[in-house]
Parts: sequence; structure tokens; C-alpha cells
Amino acid sequence: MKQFLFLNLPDTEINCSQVDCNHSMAHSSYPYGDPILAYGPQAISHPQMVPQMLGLASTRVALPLDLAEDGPIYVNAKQYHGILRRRQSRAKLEAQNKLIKSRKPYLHESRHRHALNRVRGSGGRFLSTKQLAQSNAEFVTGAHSGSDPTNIYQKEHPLEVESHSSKDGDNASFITTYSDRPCLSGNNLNFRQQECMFLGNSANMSGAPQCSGGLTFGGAKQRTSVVR
Amino acid sequence: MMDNVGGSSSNIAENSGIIREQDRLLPIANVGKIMKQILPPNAKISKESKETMQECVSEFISFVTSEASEKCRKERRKTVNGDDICWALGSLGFDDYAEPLRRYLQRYREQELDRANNPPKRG
Repeated sequence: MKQFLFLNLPDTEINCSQVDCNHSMAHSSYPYGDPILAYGPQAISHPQMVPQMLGLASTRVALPLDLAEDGPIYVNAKQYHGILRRRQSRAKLEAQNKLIKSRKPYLHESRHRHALNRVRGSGGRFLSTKQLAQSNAEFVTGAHSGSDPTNIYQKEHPLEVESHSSKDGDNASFITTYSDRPCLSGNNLNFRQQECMFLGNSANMSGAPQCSGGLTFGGAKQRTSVVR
Repeated sequence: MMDNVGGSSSNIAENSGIIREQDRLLPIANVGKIMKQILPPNAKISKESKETMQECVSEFISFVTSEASEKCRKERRKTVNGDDICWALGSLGFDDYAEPLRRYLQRYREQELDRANNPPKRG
């Protein structure tokens, strides 16, 4: 149970600000109410509340000392038995190792994997399907402006087909577009995109420049304009 | 990021009857939306705030419900109803909340009666 109390300590400071927030909310909702009295349960883990509660006229009961290491904590007498009952329930659950003490960063593994595979735009936000299609269309336009008439049709046709294919198809379309220039091989490009995703997860803003760096100046410029 | 070990232990934990996060706490998105209602439109709420509020509101629900459940146990009843919750709030000193909740409960029951008396027609 002390371990549970230790876990509660970091929340004490946070609860303080929330008590203030709730205080203002309660004041606006119930102008004639007693906001401090309404938030008695939070006082059990916040020793600084003791002076305020001592000022109240109603009866105060001291909780057992075994859990309050820094002295007795006074609570609303009406809530005394309820608090003790809840303490017993929590202790029982903790004894059975049924309480999760550390929260997982995500709840569902499959959803997490799906999110990892999604493409991110500038600022680290996910691109929607519509934005992805628009981005591919921009690449077609870019290829059009940078190629001679004979190659326009040859390069445009594969892009149209590949715009409906999987992500690997997108990589292939990138390679096809810049096949006449010195560029990264398929594996390197794939590795670079994975690196972009990793950076996007760790720091939202740093991921975007890395992704843009892999493209030509014209392509990057158009991509940015599309996202914005 | 690819925490397969965590996933495996999570599956094992579920089999051993551990209480999962989504069963013990309210959904964090819903809590965030409720918190947002009282704040100005341009306010931002950190995830830490939402998680802390998740813990607070879930504990408060258990606190009030255990008081109501204790009353039902003494009266040898098995179902905790809305009146028990209102009584529990008053018993714990939350009188400012008990009265609005009684009015809400009354209005809710009136709606239920209207729905029962006027069943929706099947097209």
C-alpha cells in the first residue's frame, strides 16, 4: 500500500492545479456551494489541504497514521468510512496483483502497428488517403514539367497505375520518376523512409526535413504546398 | 516502439484476471472532451492532465458506488439504482451534486415513461 501511496505522490502537485480548476468550475456552477467540501476525497493525498479543511466548521476525523507518513490527515467525517473502505478495496486488489501500475503507451497492438505504417506529412501529421493521391498527382505534374515530350507518356502511364497500388508501388514510382538521375536504390530509399517514420515518432518537427531531403527541390516544394 | 514482449505479457496478464486499463478507467478521449467543455476554445490539455483526471474520476465513481453498494447490502438488495447513488452523494457530503442529480434522474425517468408509452413505429 505504501507503494501505491508513493505512486500517488507525483499526482499530488497535479491534483492541486486541478483542484483550483474544479474550484472555479464548481463556483460557476454552484455559487452557494462549498467547493472545498465537495472535493474531500482528493484531500486524502494532499497534505496542504489540511489547513483549509481545519478552517471549516464541520467535524473533522483523523485517518489512521499507518498510511499518512507526514502526520494525520483530516477528512470530512461523512467520508471517513468510505475512504477506509476504498483503501481496503485497493489494498485487496493490489495484493492480488490486479492493479496495473504502469500504463502502456497504446492499448491495441494492431492499431499501433497500423499507425507506424502510415505516411506522415510536414509537422508529423498523418496524411489522409486523399492527400496521398493528391501528392502522387503532383509528382506526375513535376515529371511532366521536367521531361521531354517523348518520355512524358511513358512515365505518366506507370504512375497512374501505381497510384492505386500498395506502398511498395509508391517506392517503385519514385524510382521510375528519377531513373535517369543518380538516386538511391530501392533498399536505401525504403530504409530512409523507415528512418523518417522513426524520427517522426520521436520528434514531430524533425521528421519533416528528413523526408523532404530525400526528394528533389521541385518535388519537395510541391509536396510542402500540397500538405499546407 | 515495437514492444512485442509487452504485448505478450499483456495477453498473459489478461488470462490471469488482471484488470485492464480500459476496464478500470474511463476512455481518455471522452475525459478530454469533457474537460475541454469548461475551457476556452484555444486552451490545450496535456495528456498528463487527462491521465490524472482519468484516475480521479474513476476513483470518485468507485468511492460513491461503494457507499451506495454498502447501503444496498444492509438493506439486502442486490440492485444499485439511481436513488441509491443520489443518497450516497448526500451521505458523503456532496449535497451540491445530489440535488441536481435527483432532478436529472426525475427527468430521465419521465423520458423513459414517454418512450414506453409511445413506442417508435416500425416503418
